[in-house]
Amino acid sequence: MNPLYGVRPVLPQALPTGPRPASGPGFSDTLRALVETAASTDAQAGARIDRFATGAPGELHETAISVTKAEIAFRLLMSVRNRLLESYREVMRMGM
Amino acid sequence: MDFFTAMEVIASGLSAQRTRMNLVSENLANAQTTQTPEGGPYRRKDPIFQSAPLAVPFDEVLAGSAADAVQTVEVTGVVEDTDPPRLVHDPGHPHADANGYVAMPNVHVVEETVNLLMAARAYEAGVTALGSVKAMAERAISIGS
Repeated sequence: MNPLYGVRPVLPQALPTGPRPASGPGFSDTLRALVETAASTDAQAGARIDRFATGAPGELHETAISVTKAEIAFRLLMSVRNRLLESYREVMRMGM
Repeated sequence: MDFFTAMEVIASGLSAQRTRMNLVSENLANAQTTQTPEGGPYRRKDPIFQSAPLAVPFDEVLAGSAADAVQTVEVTGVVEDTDPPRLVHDPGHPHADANGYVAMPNVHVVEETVNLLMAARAYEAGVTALGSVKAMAERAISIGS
C-alpha cells in the first residue's frame, strides 16, 4: 500500500500557461524616472552654483535650495536603489 | 504638491524678505540725503507684498490636483512714505530754503532698525522652515529602513 495514498496536492500543480500580463510601467521605469529627476535637479543646482560663482545676479538662497532639492532627490534615488538591491539579495538567498 | 512645493513657497518668502532688507539698507544709507535726482530730500521706501498662486505644471492643472495650490509671496512694488520731510534749521547748508530750513529725509533710524530686525527674523523663520521641510523629506525617505 502506498503510504502517501492520503496525501494529495492542495493546489492544482499546473503552472499558469497563458500569456504573461502585459508589462505596464515596470520598476525599471520608476527607477529611470527617479534617476532623471535626480539628474535634472543636480544639473539645475550645478547651473545655479555656476551662476553664483560667476557673480551673475540671483538669489543666494535659490542656489542653496536647488542644492537641497538635488540632495533630497539623490537620497531618494539611493534609498530606492538600496532597497532594490536588498530585495534582490533576499531573492538570491532564497532556498529552493 | 510635494516637499519641493514647500521649498518654492519658502524661497519666495526669503526673496521678499531680502528685498525688504535691501530697502531698509537703502533707507538707512540715505537717512541724511537732502537731495535726490527727482528733487527734494530722500523719502523712505517700503516694499508692498502680495500673495500669488504658485506656478504649477499644466498636467497638474488638468488633473485637478492644483486646486489646493498654495500661495507664494511676491513684491509687487515699492512705495514712498508720504510723511513730510523733517525740517532742520541750517542756513549754511547749500540745500537750505529761503528761511534757512533744510528738508531732511523722513527716515527714522530707530524705526528702520526695527524693520531690519523684523526682516532678519522673518528670513530666519523661513530658513528654519526650510530646514524642517528638508528633515521631513529625509525622514520620509528613511521610512522602513
